[in-house]
Amino acid sequence: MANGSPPEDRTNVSREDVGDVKHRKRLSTLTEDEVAALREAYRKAQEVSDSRGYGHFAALHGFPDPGYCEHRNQLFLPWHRGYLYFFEQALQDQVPGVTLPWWDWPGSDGIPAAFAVEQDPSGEPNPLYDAPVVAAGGFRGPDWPERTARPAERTPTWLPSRGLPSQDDIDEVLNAANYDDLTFAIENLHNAVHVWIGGEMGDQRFAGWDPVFWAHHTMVDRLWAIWQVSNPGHIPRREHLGKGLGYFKDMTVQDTLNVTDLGYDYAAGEVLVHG
Amino acid sequence: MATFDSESFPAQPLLDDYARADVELHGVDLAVPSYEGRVFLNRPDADRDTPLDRDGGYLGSFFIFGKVNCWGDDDAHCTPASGRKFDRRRNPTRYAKVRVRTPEGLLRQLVEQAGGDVSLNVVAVIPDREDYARYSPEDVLSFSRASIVTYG
Repeated sequence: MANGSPPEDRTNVSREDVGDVKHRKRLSTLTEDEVAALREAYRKAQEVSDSRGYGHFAALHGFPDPGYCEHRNQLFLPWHRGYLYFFEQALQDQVPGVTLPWWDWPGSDGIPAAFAVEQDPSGEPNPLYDAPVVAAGGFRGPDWPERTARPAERTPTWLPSRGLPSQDDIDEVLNAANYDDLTFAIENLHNAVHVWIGGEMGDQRFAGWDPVFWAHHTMVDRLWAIWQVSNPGHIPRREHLGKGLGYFKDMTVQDTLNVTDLGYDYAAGEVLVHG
Repeated sequence: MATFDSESFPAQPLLDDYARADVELHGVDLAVPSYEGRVFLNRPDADRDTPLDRDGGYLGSFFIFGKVNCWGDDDAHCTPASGRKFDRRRNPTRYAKVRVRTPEGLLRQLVEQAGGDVSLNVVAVIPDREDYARYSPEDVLSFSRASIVTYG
């Protein structure tokens, strides 16, 4: 057996080569190299000021026209799945193969380390820590904050655990008997985490700019994906299936129902085994 | 408003055929700062310090991830006519329904404990934290209709 150089698989590069579905991985299991790739993708995206850049996507969450996120209705989960899909591709335009990691709330005792430190290991500003609050084309509203910020103080959450969602909270959500119950329950849990973080994350208008927003929502999307596996056939109401997702009008609700059709799946972990 | 206290109403009929009970609030305004709505049965004295104790009437909470205000020139922007064909602009989802699913059997327990008419009470709580210091719970809780829905 030949011992060659370790394969260069910073994230999903080898999968991309063979057209395989990419894995969204548990944030806490990413290797240093994978976190570095994620930082690089965020940094480069934040430097792009047009519609390929970070600010463009961040603004779609809170801007009324033509985007606006969907909340408190059956489109909450499909809209955000589409939102993550396009944002992830924008990151992949910067660093091929990079995928959005999911923040495992029960396994975490605070903001994930990769997103909590102000500087990366080389001493440079960490693009996962904060971001400039600016939309595509350099647009900024008169009352917008300069950059995202999170209060240093963490107050107890509103959940029974008074902390991040526990596995019991998640199990309760995943016990939902139908899609309507599921989306209500997931969104409520998701709301609690937004407000627990606070700062821009606690404000629907600006939440999309906080870098940890994407790891949070990837966890939300993962819960829906897990629930779908054990509840086949339970989908949003039929009247919604042909609807386009706001700004992403060519992606319909129906298009969001299968994650592998969208080119990704969720993995709890992965170890590269070298020969 | 910071709290909502309904008039007293007879809840006994809800128990006739009941396996699940949800509290539903309709027309909840989302153009407000984020907040928690704590829902109680028959606790008009409830405030943010009332223990979240099932035996003490606590039914559950809903969490509003608010957008603070309407982006438009005035509030009319957030209440446009809906469903115009070929119009790509999204209807801002300013008002929504929220639902609190109550723990199994709790409604029966609390209604029987009350022994008569009861009230529904909602307490708005905002984080006691610096980034929320500019907001007041008086400004957040707004809805058009409340009900308790049971399923057999």
